[in-house]
This record gives sequence, C-alpha cells and structure tokens, in this order.
Amino acid sequence: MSKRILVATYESEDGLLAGARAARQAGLTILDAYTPYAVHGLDKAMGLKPSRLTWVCFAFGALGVIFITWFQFWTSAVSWPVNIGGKPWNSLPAFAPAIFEMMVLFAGLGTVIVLFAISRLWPGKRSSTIVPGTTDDRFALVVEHETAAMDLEEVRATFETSHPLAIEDRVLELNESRAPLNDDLTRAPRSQTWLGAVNWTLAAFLLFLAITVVFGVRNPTRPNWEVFREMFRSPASSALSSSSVLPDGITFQAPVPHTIPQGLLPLHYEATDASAALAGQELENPYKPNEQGLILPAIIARGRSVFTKYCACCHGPTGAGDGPVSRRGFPPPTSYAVGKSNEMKDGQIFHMLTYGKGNMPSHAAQVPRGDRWKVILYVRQLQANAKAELAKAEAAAEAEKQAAAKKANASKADTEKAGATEEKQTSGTSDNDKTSGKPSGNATESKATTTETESKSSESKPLKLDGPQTNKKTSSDDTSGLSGNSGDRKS
Amino acid sequence: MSEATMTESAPLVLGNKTLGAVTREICEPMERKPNSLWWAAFCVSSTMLLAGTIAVTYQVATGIGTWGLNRTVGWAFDITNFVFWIGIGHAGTLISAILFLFRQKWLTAVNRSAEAMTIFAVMCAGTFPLIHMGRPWLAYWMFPYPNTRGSLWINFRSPLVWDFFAISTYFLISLTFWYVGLVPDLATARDRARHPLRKRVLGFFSLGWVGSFKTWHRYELVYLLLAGLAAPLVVSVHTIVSFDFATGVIPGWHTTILPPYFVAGAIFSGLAMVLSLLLIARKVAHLEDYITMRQIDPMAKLMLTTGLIVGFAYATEVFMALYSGNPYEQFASINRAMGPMAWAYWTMVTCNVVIPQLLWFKAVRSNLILLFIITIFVNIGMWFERFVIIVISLHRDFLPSSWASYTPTVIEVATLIGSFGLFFTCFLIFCRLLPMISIGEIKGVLRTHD
Repeated sequence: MSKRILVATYESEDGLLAGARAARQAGLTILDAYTPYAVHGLDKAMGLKPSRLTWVCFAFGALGVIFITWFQFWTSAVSWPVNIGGKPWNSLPAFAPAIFEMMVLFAGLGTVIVLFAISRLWPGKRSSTIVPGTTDDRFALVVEHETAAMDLEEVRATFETSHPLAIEDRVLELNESRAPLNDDLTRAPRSQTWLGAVNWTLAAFLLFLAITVVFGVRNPTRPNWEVFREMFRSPASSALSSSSVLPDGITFQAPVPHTIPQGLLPLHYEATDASAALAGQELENPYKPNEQGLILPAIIARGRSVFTKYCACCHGPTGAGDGPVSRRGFPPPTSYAVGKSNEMKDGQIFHMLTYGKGNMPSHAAQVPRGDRWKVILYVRQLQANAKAELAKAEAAAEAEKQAAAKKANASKADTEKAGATEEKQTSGTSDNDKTSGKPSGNATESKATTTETESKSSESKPLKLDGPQTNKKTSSDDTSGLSGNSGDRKS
Repeated sequence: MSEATMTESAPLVLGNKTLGAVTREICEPMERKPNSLWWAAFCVSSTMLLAGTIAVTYQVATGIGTWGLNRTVGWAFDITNFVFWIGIGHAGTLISAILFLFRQKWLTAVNRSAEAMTIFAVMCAGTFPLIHMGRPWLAYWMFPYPNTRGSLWINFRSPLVWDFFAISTYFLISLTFWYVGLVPDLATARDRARHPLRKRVLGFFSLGWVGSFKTWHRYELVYLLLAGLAAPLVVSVHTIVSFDFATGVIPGWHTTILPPYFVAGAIFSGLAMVLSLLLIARKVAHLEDYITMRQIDPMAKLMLTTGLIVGFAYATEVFMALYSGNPYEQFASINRAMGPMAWAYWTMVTCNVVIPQLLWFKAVRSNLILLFIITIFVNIGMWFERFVIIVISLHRDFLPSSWASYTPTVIEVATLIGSFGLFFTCFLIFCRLLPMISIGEIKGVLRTHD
C-alpha cells in the first residue's frame, strides 16, 4: 500500500507557520512538519494536542517512590533488621533522601525512554529524511494527499501565500512512511474533563488544609503532634522502664546469683592496713620480669602512660610529690626517693591503688587491674631513679662540703655510692628474685596461708582460694605477651 | 541607563547570522583539525591526568597510609576535593535547568558546555570517595544487591548511603539531560559529515533523528520535565553532601545552616568555573559571536549574588557559634579565624567575600581579563572553604589529647592535580567531538532581542 503526500519546503519558520495555518484552514491533514529546531507556535498551527508525557513522568516518579520506600522498609525491617544505634527498624525520616533521589531517577530515565520509544528513535536507527537540510536550515511541511477529489492545483494555491521554496507531490510506500510519520494526528482528541475535576478537588483540599492550619483552634498546653515518631523512640528498652516480658515487670534485672562479670574476679580485701599487708603477701605482679630481669618495654610504656594520666597530677612526673595539684596546696604525697613505698611489696601497692590510702582515693574505677600492675612496675623504675638521684646529690654535697678532708671523705663517699648502687640493685631485682625462686615458693606460701587461716576462721575461706587463683589467671594471661589481663582488654 | 537598555535589547547572537551559518560555525571546531593552542592545552592537562593516575595507582596498591591522614583528621584532601568538584558541577545544572525554568533565553549559548562541565565534575568528584574506600574494587558493596553474606543490606540511615544515591542519580540524570539535548545536534552533525565512519558513529548516537515536529513537540515537554526534575535534584544533592557533615557531632559541622550554605557555595564555585572555562573557550573556538556580554554579564552578577549569600553564611555561622553559648562551637569558630590554620580561613574569606565585591562595578564585569582573574580567585577560595570546614573542624575536636595537625602528602597533591587533569582533558575532548553550543536551541533564539 502506498500513500500520496505533498511536501512543501520553506527557508524560514514564518513560511512554515503560514503554510501550516493555511493547510488547516483548507481542511487538509498535516502529517508532520520537519524543522531544524522547535518552532514556537507550530504546535498550535498544526493543531497538536498537549503531550501526555507529563503523566508518564508522574507515573514513573510514583513508581520510584513506591519501590524504594518498600525496598528500604523491607531490607531494614524485614529481610535482615540490624540494630544501628538503637534506631527503629522503620526510620522513615532517614529514608527520605533515597526516596527523593529514586523518584527523580525513575521519573527522568523513564520519561526519556518512553519519549524515544513513542517517537520511534533508537540507537543506530537509519535516518530517512523527507527533505535534505531539515536538520540544518530547511523547514518542511508534509500534507496527506488524500483523495483524487482534491485538486492538486487547488492545494498548491493554498500554499502559494506562504511562499514555499518548492512543493513536491510524492508517493510513499507505507511501510517506509511509517517510520518518520505516525498517525497520531488522525486520532480524535479525547475529552479530558475528568482531569480538571481531579485538579479542582486537589486544589480545594489544599485550600481546606491551609484554612484549617491558619484559622484552626490551637491548644498551647497540648504537646505537638509527632509526625515521625520512629527516630525518637528506640526499640531497646530503657533500663528503668517497666517491662512486659521480664520477671516482676523489671527491665533492669539483678545478675544471676553466684555469678561474676567477665574479667572482674572479686578481691576479698578491705580498706585497712592489715588487709593491705595481707595483699602484699598474697598477690603477685603478673607482669614479672623474666629470667634476665627484663620487662617488656610495652608494659613499661603502658605503665608510664597510666602514671602520666592518673598519678603525675599529685605525685609529679618523677614521683617527687610535686605534681600540679600538690603545688596548689593539696597535701603532697611522700617522695618515692625517701617514702615508705620502697619497702612495700607490689601487692601492697596494688591494694593501695585499689582501695586508696590516706589522701589518695581509690583508683579502681579509673585504672583497670592490668594497668594497675603495670603502673607499679613503672613506679619501681621511678623509685630506683629517684634514689639514684638522691644518692648522687648527697654524694656531691658531701664531696663539696668536705673538700678539705679529702682522703677520709673520699672513702666515705665511696661507701655511700656503693651503698646506693647496691640499694638500686636490690630494688631493681626484687621482682627478679620472686620470679626465679617463687613459683614453688609462692605456692607453698599461699598453701600455708590457706591452712593457717582455715584454722582461724571459716568465713575468710574464699580469700585464700581466690588469692592464688587471681594470680594464676592474670599471669597466664600475661604469658601471651600482650597487653595484660582481661580487665585491661575490656578497656 | 541608555547603555543598560542597549545591552538588554542587544541580540543574543551577534552578526545577523543565517541558520546555515549557525550550523557551520558551531560545527566547524569539531570538523577541522585542532590548532596548536588546543594541543598545548591537551598536553598539559593529560600530563596532569597522568600524574594523578600514577598517584592513585600507587595509593591503591600501597594503601590509604600514603595520605597525610591521622586518627584525628580522618578526612582531608580527598573529601575536600569531592565536595569541591560536586559543587563545581552544580552550576551546570543551575544554568541548564533552573534558569531554563525561569525562561532565561541567554543560557542557550552556554548550557551545553555548562552541562558537560557538570558531568566531568561529577566524574572527578566520584573518584574521591571511591579511592577513599581504600579498596575501590569493592565499591559495588555500596549498591543494595542480594549477596551471599546472608543478604546483608546497606544501612539506609547512613548519610554516606544517601550520598551514594544522590551522586549516582545526579550523574545519571545530568548525563541523560545532556544527551537528550545533544540528540538533535548530533543529527545535524551527522547530516554534515563526509567521512563514512563519522557518519556512522554520529548516526548511531543521533537515534535516527530527522527533526519531525511531532517529536520536537514531545521533546520540548520532556526537556522541560527533566529541567523540573533536575532543579530540585541539584538542591538535594548538595544538601545530602552537607548531611555528611551536619549529621556528625563535630563543632563546626553540626549546624542546620549547612545545607543552604553548601548549595549557595556550590553554585558560586560552579559559576566561577563556568566563566573561567567559557572565557577561554570562546577565544580558542572563535565563538565570540555566541558567548557575548549577554551571557557573561548575568553570570558575573549571579556570581556576585551567590558570593554575597556565601559571605552572609560565614557571618551567620560565626554569629550562631558565639551566640549559642556552646563553648565547643565558640572555640571551633574562634579556632578557624585565629587558630594554627587561620591562613586557610582568611584565604577563603578574601577570595570568596572580599574580591567578588569588585563585580559590583560594570567596568569590572566587562573587563574580561579582570573577570577571569576574579573567577580563578573564587575557585581557589571555594576549594579552601571545603578545606576549612573539613580539616580545621576536625583537627581540634572535643578532647585536647586528640588534637592533631594535617599536612598533605605528595600523593594527595598529585591526586588533586590529577583530578584537574581529568576535568580539563575531558572538557578538551568534548570541545573537539561535540558541538559546544546547542545548535537547535540557538537557532530558536537567533532572532530574539530580549
């Protein structure tokens, strides 16, 4: 089947517009026009009705919104709900950004794809131009030459007033003509009054809402209506709220009897000097030096770090008792160089850190157990340094004072120096002694204590059982060579 | 007054051109061999791109440790560059979508290159979060696809996921918008092409377009719809980018002013970049008749306006911090202006607030060399704005013990240079391969005088 068409070519949009109007007046069917750009007003001249692609855009946008809203709810609340910061599963306000983006993406891509589909444009399609130059500077009007009843000359006369460059009479094979020309125009325009009704209903509803908001009754004492509650209400129960599932309706349940939290084995001591002395006997530093008397540098470094943070404010950076707090008038602690701390055992110092002594409060809450043992090792180092310094200073003073009696004084200074170094050695290796000789000795000692106290009172029984156990646990942890016991790891 | 009226009624395209002349002149730069100026620019930009590629390759192979980041300053050059490039992109969408909705006819001469700029800038921007991941080959994990890890879904409550959705949507919609605008022009170029390969390639991408008015009729509507979708999209994208910061608790980030402040800053920086590029491109590609004062003057005025909004935002931020009574906010604000990195803050204020005030004068706006220099300053200033927001806010946080400083490494600087290389290389190739000005649209406004 073939179709006869008239093609009028113009060199400006004015001629095309005039030609289109004339053709419409003459009752001719305009199949299409070909222009290098979107000529404004040609749609009216050709009698094109507004495109319905707006609705396609709306539909795709709505599809995007529905899809991504469902998808976010499904993934976050149904498929695998993951508790993130106690946020509720359905966090609608947090879903809004993705909903908006997906709406735009669906609407934009969908509309463009539909545009190309209904305009029969696709990648690689061969272009079949009616008149050459319609993508450059030529305008063409294509009119259907319907029947023989229409006089060709009459049709030509219709176009004559619009001054076309040329008018051609052509025959198109229909399958060829289908690609560039489609028969949208022959379809009768449908009434779209129902759309008007929808628009007016929506407008009236919005107006009603606006009036309600502006003139509605307000109650200032009533709290505001929460549109999105989800982000304020956590699905996790508050500790002090009532519970519908747990016994007695209490959320914050007491721990199961006879259990202890992980890494918090109880210490059965009291805040007394006697108890401290007992601790000195029973407890042993799990970070003992090895056979060569060496301590892992990481342990000392951790001890220094803890000391700087929690101890140096009063004890001062070298342990001289000159920390910033002391300098401002708080009773200063005794210096490590002269204080009793030198004679204390590690366990005793540990007791002091845990329960406090004198002006020094307990540091159990701030410093985990492992760190307490490590800081003791660092304090031992400070003590040794302080004593060496003291001895040096004394020796120097002595030497200066008694410069005259050189011989006698020299020998005195020598003995003093020797004493100092000896002392340093002992303090430095006191732990060492324990290490080398202790494993068996310690066991026997604690065993002895156990039997001794067992005979004394049955109440203190857990103490003896616990003391060695604690030690064993921490030291076994320490053999891993890492940062310390479970309390430390927890921090 | 008379002069102003004259400018207003000057034709959009100079030289009383015929339709054929417009086609010829715009298609010419893509049909003739590139001149030596183009080759020089291409050499420089591709060298920059190569430097960046080497840096990124080394960084991907070695790890993020090649950057100067530390535990306190966990975001620095990478995210600064990301926000900077995303911002640059926004002016393209502003011009082609928002101004299109406002029926600003002058934009027809610049929207094509502005949109191209958007796409290349978003490409540059997208690179940075990718390489910041450290394992960019796992970037697809950001996409919510059914997986073998029990189908563990992404966290839709995270601003970083919002970012992923915003940036990818923005890129796809900008690309679509740009391509839809290109189709009629590709058909024009196809019908002019002589070389069969060129004809085939252009024919493939021009979808068989012949200029049917029925298609034009729908096309116009779709273009309008896309503009209507892109306009809120551009606002949403930079709002979501600002959420990356505003939803954090860092003083200097945790403010509600951030979204509007970011959007204004993005358009400000983008306009500066569009102007910098076009002032050069119109000379190099001989498009002085198309890109005239009718385009340059309103863009300079828009730049002044958005610059004032940005300046106002700076002042508001300081005021809100000092008025809030929140010591951390106050400290963050004072630290910006008087802290160890105050030089960055004052560079930003000088470039973004002080220097653009020159644009009040018509003499400055019509002096193209001066205008070009101002746009460069604005580009520098806007880069520093993101640096100030990110690095200065991070390097002094709540705990003095975690205070730190930041210095970029060579790798980071090379990556920044490389992103500029990518941007300019893409732009130069675009100038050679595609019509820089929308032929179809400029023909429609050829006789427009208002």
